[in-house]
Amino acid sequence: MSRSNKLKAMFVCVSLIFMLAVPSLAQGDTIKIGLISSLTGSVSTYGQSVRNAVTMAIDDINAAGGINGRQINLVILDDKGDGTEAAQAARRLIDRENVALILGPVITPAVMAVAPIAQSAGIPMLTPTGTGDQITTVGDFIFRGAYKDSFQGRIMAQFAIENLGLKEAAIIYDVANDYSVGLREAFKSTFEELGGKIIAEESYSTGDTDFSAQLTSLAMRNPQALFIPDYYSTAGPILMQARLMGMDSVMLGVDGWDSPDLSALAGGFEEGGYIVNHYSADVDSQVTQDFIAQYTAKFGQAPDALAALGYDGVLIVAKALEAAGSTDPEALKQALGTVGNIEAATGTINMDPEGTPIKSAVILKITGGKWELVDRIDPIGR
Amino acid sequence: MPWHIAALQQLINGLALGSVYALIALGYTMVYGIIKLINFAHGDIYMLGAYFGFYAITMLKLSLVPAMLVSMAAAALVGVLLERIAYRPLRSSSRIAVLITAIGASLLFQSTAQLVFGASFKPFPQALPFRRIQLGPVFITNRQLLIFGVAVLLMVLLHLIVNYTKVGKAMRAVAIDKEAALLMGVNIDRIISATFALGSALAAAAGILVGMYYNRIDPYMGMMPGLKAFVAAVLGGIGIVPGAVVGGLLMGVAENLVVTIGSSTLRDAVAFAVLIVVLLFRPNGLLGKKGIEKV
Repeated sequence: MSRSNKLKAMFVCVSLIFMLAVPSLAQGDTIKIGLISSLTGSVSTYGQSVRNAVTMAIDDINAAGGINGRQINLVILDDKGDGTEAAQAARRLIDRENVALILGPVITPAVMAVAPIAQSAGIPMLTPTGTGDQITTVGDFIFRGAYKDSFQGRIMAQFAIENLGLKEAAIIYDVANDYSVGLREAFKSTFEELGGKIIAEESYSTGDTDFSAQLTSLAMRNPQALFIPDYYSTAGPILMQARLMGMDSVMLGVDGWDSPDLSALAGGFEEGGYIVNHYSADVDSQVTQDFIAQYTAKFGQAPDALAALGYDGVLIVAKALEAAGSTDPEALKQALGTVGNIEAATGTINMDPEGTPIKSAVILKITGGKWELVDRIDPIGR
Repeated sequence: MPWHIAALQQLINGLALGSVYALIALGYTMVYGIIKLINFAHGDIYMLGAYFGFYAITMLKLSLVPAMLVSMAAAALVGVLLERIAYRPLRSSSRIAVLITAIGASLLFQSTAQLVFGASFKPFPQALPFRRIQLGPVFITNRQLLIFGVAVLLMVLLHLIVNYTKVGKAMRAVAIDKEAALLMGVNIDRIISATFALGSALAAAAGILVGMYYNRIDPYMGMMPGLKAFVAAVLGGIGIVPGAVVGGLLMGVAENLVVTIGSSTLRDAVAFAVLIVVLLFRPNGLLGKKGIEKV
């Protein structure tokens, strides 16, 4: 070991001691929760919404006296929407911060990087927003606050056939993203099951910006509808390029489209599109309306679905902590799988031991630049 | 839309994309011609150009053409400084040292951009209305026209500079024989700076065009186009100016036609497959031959 390495090692030791010592001094009797969110990167509006809503919900709980008399101490880390960064954040939360529970990450690829780490460490984890089907199959410590992709893909296909009366559709999706691939499969199988026909499919890879080749191929088939299962940062440019190409198909989307940045990235061409989402601001529930009012007053903009899910994630966790009566991982895990009747911003939530809540979805249409509630769909079984 | 018309449409899309590759490839090839360096930070200059354009339009409230000029000038300055600070001190070192420095500079630009501009995807301010011009069975968007127009204009300008100005003559002289040019009284440092300035300005123009066309910019946007433009430069014959244009257009068209004929998943792979095939038969690139005049 060279001299500078020794110095570095000493520095690391000293800082570790501080990191271990400071929380234990300040902690008293608090519950430590880690939040991994994508505050920067290609899906930054998701992470910021989640962070805003989570801090707001936790401040409320703390102001009301905490959970069973204990205050919640929140540690927030940024994963940039990236799996590797998310895994590092998870290691830090588990090994150094000794959190009782991990909230997050936000998007499915990041969640899939964290879930095995949380599972093997035996730390309960709840992603408020991750929809990939495979998330909750990682293990019994992994929970989510949102519906699954197979559910939302099925809902969109059903809506397209039964309500919009469509018979044929095309799909453009990201082969390199589990979320996009999962949604494509769910949509396709239900659409075909119900007698519809997928007449063309094209794909691209994460990070691509030029979709003109794929869209020209699709435009050639002149599909009635185009399903674009991706995040706003990619769906936006695809929508713009498709419309400029003269495609007049009905555009069908998913919860990933929900972002204040969608309109700018789509150049206004998102108008008339339909999405499946977790919540609508038009839902006439007291909890939802209170949440919208509080969030808007605090952050100066109306909450999107990601914010609502972040808020609800805290409500689920709070109820579970209360029921468990301690931060013991086993007890907390049991509680997370059984708490129910939670009146939350996205509707009534009943958790399930398999990790996915039973709750409703909504269909929204972009009309005059605003999301309008078109339909509300109750869960079919699970 | 019948098959052959779709192919024609893909050809137009391919030429638009190819023009962008060509503009970036010109910078690679000019720098290589003159100091035998693959400037891996070139793709990031293209990214910086897009951001400079973004801020020129949003903060300085400039319209498209002045914004493009400001961005090209700023990128030219960055290119000159990059050469002055990072590459010149290593000019007499081994070529691998400079190459690694170039890769380091690329990462530095990306991380700095992420820090300064933010890591989020930014929508590009759309300074032009959207228009679609129908040409018989196919169409062309006004953004594609803008790409063609600007690309052709810049290429003609570059051609005039390289062939008919004193700087251009000096560039060609340095490319052929650095020592002899020095003996003839050519200020080599200044000529190398001029080459970096020209190449960087072209890349910045490409960055803005792409921002307008795809409506999305981010700090990592230079990676893939940078790599593909490098391939385009090699494909056409690295160090040869018209080669970069031919290579760029060919890459753009090949990528788009693959989607019509085969699968969109193969798109990126095909770009590189084309390179391998061409190099098997013409190791010096399409336009390359031994002892050719280089810039």
